Amino acid sequence: MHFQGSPNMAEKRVKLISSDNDEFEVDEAVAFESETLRNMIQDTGTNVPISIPNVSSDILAKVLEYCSYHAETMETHDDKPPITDAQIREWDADFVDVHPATLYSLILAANYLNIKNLLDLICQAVANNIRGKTAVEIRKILHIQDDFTYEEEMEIRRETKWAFD
Amino acid sequence: MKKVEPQLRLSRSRSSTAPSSSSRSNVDDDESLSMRSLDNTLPHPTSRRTAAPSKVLTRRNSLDQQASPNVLNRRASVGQQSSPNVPNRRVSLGQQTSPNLPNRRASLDQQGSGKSSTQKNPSRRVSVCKQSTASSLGKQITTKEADVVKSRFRHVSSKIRVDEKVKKSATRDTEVQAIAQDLPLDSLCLCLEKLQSVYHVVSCAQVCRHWRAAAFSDVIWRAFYLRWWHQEEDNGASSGSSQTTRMPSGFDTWRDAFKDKYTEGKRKIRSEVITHSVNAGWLHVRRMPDRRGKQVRDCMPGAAMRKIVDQLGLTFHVQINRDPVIRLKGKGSVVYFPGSCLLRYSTKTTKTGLSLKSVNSFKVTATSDRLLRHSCTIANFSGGQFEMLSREGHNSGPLRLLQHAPKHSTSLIIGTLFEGMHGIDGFSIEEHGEEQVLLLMVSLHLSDLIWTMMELGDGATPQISRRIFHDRLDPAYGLHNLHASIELHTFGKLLWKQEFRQVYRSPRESIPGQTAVFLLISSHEVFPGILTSPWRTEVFSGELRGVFMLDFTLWDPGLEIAWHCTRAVRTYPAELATVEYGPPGMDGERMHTGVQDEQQGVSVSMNLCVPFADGWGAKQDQENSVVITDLRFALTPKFMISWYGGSNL
Repeated sequence: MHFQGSPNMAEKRVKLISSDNDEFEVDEAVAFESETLRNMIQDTGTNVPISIPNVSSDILAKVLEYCSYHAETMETHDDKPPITDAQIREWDADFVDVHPATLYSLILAANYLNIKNLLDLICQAVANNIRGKTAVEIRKILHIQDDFTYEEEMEIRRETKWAFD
Repeated sequence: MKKVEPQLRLSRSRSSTAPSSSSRSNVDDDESLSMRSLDNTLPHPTSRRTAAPSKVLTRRNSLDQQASPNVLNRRASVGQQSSPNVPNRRVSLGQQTSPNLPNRRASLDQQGSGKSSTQKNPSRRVSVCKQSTASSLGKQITTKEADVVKSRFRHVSSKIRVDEKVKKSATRDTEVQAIAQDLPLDSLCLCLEKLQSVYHVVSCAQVCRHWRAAAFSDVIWRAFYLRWWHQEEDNGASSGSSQTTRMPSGFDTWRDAFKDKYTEGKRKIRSEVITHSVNAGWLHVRRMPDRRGKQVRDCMPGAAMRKIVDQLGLTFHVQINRDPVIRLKGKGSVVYFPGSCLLRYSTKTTKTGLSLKSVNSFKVTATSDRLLRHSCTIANFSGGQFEMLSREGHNSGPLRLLQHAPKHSTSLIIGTLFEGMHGIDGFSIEEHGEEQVLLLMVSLHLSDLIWTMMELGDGATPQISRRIFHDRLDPAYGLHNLHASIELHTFGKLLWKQEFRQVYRSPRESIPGQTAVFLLISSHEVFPGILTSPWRTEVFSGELRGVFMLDFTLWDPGLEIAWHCTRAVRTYPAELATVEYGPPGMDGERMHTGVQDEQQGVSVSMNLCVPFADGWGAKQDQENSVVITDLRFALTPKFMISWYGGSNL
């Protein structure tokens, strides 16, 4: 029934409402990047605005930026050279170059909207962020409180000793 | 037509609704240009949109009644929350009147969709405009329109970002904390799963209780277990097969199962890395015909060494004397070159006066992420003779450069505070032991690094095998088909690099029974740049003239690295007898430099010429450049015996 990229697709628009009550209107193909939205749209059709209660406007805008770019890369144009993988990777790297707070909110949004590629991308970015850092360094960059007791910490040391040999 | 255009542009950029109205549907594009320009002055798009919210609301309400229960619930709750918010928001945004609200919405539309709809299909719009009016104008307008949209897009997003900043500047850090700590366990697990190394996951377990729960969860260890032990089966099949993989019997958790096979896994991963490097053509496997099937693996010429090292993901730690081990991090502390890497150790200790005498030992360890924190001691310097590199009379500022190189492929370079002592070329630690250390650098040859980290060195008994080659097949074996690569670099920048394939002995230069000389460059080779090494410490900075790093790698005909070095060298004014004169007419300062390894019987020497700017035959393109007039290396019987097991010079 729905074919991505078919010419009459551009006519179909979907309204999304963020938690701050801002309304976003996007192409159906863009919304279809999200598995959750796809299911909703297939249930209710495009006429009904879809509210996304747990995603704020700025995060939703960011998510839609990602979706629209990636929906765009799916399409082929005769007059334009196709977007290469390297370009996409570069764009993705730019996209995740944000403050950790935004990154973590994006995880929640991507998780809720079920956009697998975005979730992968962000998780990878978070992983890159903490890779190779010691626990103390991670606590420092993410401002996490150390809530271990001394005994617990010793236990973890003992527990994980095998990995350090 | 020309008059219409600027007007149009003005009206477009001023209006906020017009671009969105035209981008919204493609039917609008069929309107003639005059209609479009009128578009902004006409109130109808605005009025159309003011009606929208009520319609939306009613539609939503009506649909809520039909929708499935769970959707209904969510919608209802949202409706309750959101409807009282609407007036608040309007006030806070400073938009008192309702017609402004659609504007904002329209601009947000742009953010979400404007990019996709206007930039995605410019071709279509151009063609439509072509039909309606003059083609060139149409094209211009569409691009203008796209620009306006783009700028608006940027504007809106920046505005949002500013809002965000204002909103969050105070609470930003606490918010990160809250989010990082309250991230649902499954999302956190997803992130940790992306970590390549077990070691990283384990260190995440020590962050806080929440993270410990994630890092110890079975999801992650199951993923790791499968990644390590079921990769082959999983490659072709979808994730369905891994879903069904059962936990190995005898273990309570995946983590225990993983732990049990960890040591074995480490070995497995190393062999995987080696196999991968071999398949990628970076490592070369040489099977020796000595019937025992032993093989020697070595790095191929070219960019291979650099690529292997890249994939190992190395971190370096240094230790001076018995001080705590320090990780080298930060920009410029580890610099990779095609054949070597330079580690720079800069600490506050250099400020507080670390004297040359007090540096008793200097240890470098490398740890590979790819090989599961496999770490090795790469270099260990303890005492020894220093060689002085910087020259008296040269403008090297307060720095004097010393080198200590127990092997030719690893050298420790120390820069000391030079306080006008009598600069004799000989240098003894007794005399100058109080000199303050400013710089500590270690240069390592990449092939050493690779051999140590990947434990390639336990392969064969090379001499015997090579002798078999040497005796039976070719009387002049080892004197031709050599490969060499040379590079010159400063402490941070590559100056020049060149590879020589299939080098032959030059009979004219060689002395039978004593040396075999291989001429690499005998005419002249120009490379841009000057041989100065800039340096910088916390206190001083300057440059060293005529001092640079020289890396040389020599492959034997079987593509094994027979000799390699990375050293700091300095130039000497050439004595006339040793100078190979360049092309006739070239006039400049002639210098000589080289490395001599008497222990292994290899020497590299090069003659350089820095052309005078106004000298004879000076050319424009040779200004600020160095001309290599001669580059050669020589092998002695000592080398032939130690490498091939016999000399045929």
